[in-house]
Amino acid sequence: MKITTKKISLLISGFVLAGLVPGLAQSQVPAHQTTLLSPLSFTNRAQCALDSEKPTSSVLVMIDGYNAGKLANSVAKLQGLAPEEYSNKAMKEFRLSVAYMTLNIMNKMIRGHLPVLPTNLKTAQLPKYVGASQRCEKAGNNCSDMNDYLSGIWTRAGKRADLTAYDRFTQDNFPLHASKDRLGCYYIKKFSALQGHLHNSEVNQSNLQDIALAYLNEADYLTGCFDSDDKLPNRFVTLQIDWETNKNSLDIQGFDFWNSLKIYLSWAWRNTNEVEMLSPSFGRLFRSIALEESIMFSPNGCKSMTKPSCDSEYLATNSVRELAKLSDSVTPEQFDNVPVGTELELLEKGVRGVNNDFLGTQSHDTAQGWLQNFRKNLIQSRALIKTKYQSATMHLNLLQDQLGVELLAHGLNKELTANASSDNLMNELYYLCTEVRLAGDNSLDFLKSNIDRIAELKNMTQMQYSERRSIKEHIDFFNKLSAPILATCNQLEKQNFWSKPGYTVSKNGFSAWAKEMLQIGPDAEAAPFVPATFSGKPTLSWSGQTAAGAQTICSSSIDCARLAVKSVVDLYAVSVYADALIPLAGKSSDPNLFNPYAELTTCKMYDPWFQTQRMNKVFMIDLANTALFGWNVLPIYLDVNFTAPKVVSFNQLMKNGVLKFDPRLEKSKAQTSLVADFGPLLGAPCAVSLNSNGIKHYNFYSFTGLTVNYCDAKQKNEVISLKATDFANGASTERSFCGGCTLNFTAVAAASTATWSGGVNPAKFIVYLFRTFQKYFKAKKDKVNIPRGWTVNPAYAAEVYKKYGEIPSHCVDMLGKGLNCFSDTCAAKAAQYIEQTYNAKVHSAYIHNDGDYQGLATDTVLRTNLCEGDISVTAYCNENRLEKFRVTNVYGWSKSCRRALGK
Amino acid sequence: MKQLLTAVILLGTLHAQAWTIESKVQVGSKGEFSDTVTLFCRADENLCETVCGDKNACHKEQELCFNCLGTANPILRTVFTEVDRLYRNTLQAVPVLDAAKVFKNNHVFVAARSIYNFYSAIDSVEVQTRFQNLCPNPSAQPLLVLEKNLNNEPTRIKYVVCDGTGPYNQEMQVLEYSPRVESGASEIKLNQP
Repeated sequence: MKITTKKISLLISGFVLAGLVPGLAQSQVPAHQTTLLSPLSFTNRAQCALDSEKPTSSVLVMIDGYNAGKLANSVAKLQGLAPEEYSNKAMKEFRLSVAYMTLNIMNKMIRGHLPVLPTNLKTAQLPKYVGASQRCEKAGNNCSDMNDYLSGIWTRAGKRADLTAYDRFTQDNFPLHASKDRLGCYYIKKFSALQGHLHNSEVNQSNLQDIALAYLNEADYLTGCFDSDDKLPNRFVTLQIDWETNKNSLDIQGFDFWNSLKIYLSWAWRNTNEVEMLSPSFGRLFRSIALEESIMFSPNGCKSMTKPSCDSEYLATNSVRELAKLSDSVTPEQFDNVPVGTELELLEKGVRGVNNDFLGTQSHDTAQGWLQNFRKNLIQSRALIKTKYQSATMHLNLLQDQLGVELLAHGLNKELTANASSDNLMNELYYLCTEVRLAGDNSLDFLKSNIDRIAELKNMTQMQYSERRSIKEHIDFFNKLSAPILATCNQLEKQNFWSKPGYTVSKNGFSAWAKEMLQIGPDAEAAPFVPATFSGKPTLSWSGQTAAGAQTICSSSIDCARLAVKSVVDLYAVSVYADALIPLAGKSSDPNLFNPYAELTTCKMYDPWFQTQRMNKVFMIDLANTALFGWNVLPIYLDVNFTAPKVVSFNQLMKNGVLKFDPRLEKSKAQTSLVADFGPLLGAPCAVSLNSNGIKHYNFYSFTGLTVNYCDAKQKNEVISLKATDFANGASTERSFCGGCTLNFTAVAAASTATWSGGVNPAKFIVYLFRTFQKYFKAKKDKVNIPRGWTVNPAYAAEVYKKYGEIPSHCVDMLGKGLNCFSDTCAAKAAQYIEQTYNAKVHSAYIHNDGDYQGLATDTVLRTNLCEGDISVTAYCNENRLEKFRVTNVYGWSKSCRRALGK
Repeated sequence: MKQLLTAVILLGTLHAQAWTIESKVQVGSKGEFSDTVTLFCRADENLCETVCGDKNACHKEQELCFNCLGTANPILRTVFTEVDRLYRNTLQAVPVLDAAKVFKNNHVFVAARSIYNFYSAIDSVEVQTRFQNLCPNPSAQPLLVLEKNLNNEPTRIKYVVCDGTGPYNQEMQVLEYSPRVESGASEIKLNQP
């Protein structure tokens, strides 16, 4: 076995790590590499959209050490030790533990020691697993069945026969290929060209050079996951895990693999003592850490960890992407008092750029800085949501326990009777009536159906600890309360209650959520609103004997009713983003941070194949045109353009406690315009405006003048000529072609067509045919909307750079195909074959006999480090279809080579 | 005879309990930190013997408390931010046998100066006051007792361990959800069951 430099470095890093990290020598850190392993996959927008449907093989693990640090801080203070020192120690050990547990479980699944559990329980053939899952879902979290089940698997890990007997695991739950997988685990110090696919949507000389330089200076950007250098920050850590595996197996098992990783990780963290391996001091306490709040996964690129689906859970989870962006100016949607809803946010944001570093990873000096910004926004919005939930349920409980519908309604009437003419009362009733209408009126339904639906959403019903009442009971209370209030409000309106002379309502007193919905801005001049206590003392307040002291809960029955409405609106706000911000116990979230097309594609707002299909459709129509018009003398040519199908709205459908969005599409329309082409006369095609003049049957159109359109969306500056000799500014026309011209034709009922000297125009035919193909090939070059992908192996880029001092232009194509740079693409492909099959290093490769032109196999001659002499590879190779590369023979020209090849 | 027997039984249960519970973070022999509770019994108290067979003290590690170290658990949030507003001490003592069961499993003991406090500083005076407000007598370390579910998550605030007079004189008293609210409206009767 040849000892390569890579293997040596791996061995050395293993020993070094074992020495440095306490406890590491005793445990077996799963085998992994610390120099960059996987090729980088560059994609443009359309390919990125397509990739969102495929499982990823590289993920980022984002770790926030706060919980570990705070724990250690408390422990140190209780023990009289140095808090800062112990905090740092704990955060480091937390990072090491997360890395260890993740790799350990991945390793076990890769080796077939742990089975891959299916994500889709409906089609799963594992009765015990499905049973435990169903029981635990029914019982909320008060269930140990799933823990017991996973414990059963863990104790049988590595024993295939025992596992198969335990539950009906089959070959589908274990590795589907025989070849060995490899894992790489890196601590990202700084985002660089080594994550270049996140901020470039194509491969060119310049970014290849960046990749090469970054690879050669890898230590500045990456280090190993288990690097225990104290200078490495541990509060915000981004790890990258690369998994090199068989592509076909990945496509089949990928999503299940990542789902299983999350399940095993959540269970093993709490229920085994493996965490103590990497952190002997804090390991026992770490088990109680809120793990899913401290770590987050994300695919490293456009592919996914979870299969995309157009529903509230998926859209909410991915909406955290907005929190990872830099901008301070825009308040993220998660902070809205009344969120519009994830599917409507999607429609509003629409189609956008991708792979252009919109998350700002390049704008921070360190990866820690980027993650810190993300976590700050995430934690703030999470805290906001939790506080809203806690307050809302507490207030609703108080109102139901202490007051109830009847007392509130009675109190309301009493206040109305006693204070009918007071401005304060009129204002507060106005606010109450408006707010109840917004939230609780069936016919207006601004929020009513959204609120009713909260009780059906799984993310709310499984939210922990609606201790005294279920969500449904709160919603029922709200509905029961709204009914008499709405009736009273209707009555008051009929009596023109608010039409008192001299009275104008002060809009300042509306609740923040109502102001948001009604778009009432802040009024600096108005006095801040204080609810009146109509009976002298607040209707409900906290006793002064508590640690926090006396505090008003609500001042009057009106105020208390408004509090009920606010609480229910807050519950609605929580329900929209709960999936993203409050992970259900035992499920880490994995938003597809770097690919906004994951949602756009699955919700059909973007079709990555649309452009390709349109290009083909237009091509066919152009050919038809050529046949129809290309031969005659009429200067007319039909230009057909298809508009992309547009999602206009979403039908909402509640299914299994999750809101599914069904896009309503406005179908693809054909936009037609007739383009008149005067060929050599005017040079550019002009658009044609046809005025039928009310005449139904006409033989031809008569030219009535020319309009020249400047590039102006508002269609000013148009020059219109009504007659051939007339030029004047005029009104807008229906179509405006930027920089072009419009020929105006009017239908003429009857005219002699004798002016056309009839017949075929062969020159025109050729021109039209040529233009058809030209248009087609130009469309094919669309950089953004025709799927295009590249693969770059950074080690190859570095090698080429070292050899030539730059990236030569002839190498760009080969490097973009994941190959090293040789004389020819097929030679490079043959070289890759030899390197992968025989674990060799190819020094040179050239084509000896290019059989491609005769349809025969190509002969490539290579020199390698395997042996002295030449090796010949015969293969069928088409430069443009490299996936069909097929080797027919490998031959060693010298004895040593024949021996090395095993022949 | 029956009345005599009843009286004897009643007298037995009314006999003041003589134990204390202490919660603290301990360091093991290999430097490992763990959250522990210790039950100390006076010589004439049987509780320790019932719990662990040792007459003087029973010691245990508070093992897994699911998602407790963080801000994920709403019960802990209530404990550290507003427990005295929402709960009151009924002063009803938990019988000895029940106290033994509580100590042995499915419950977690939380002190004011606790590693589970992610809502304020560990020395927060407000949290200390909150815990004190739940005890009838000044107590050195009032402990809140939370019940855990099958997944080891605290789900209910059940008892408080308060000091009596003198050492070995603590009691586990039942807490009840009873918001400390006041009303200005005369027709409103608060905290009706």
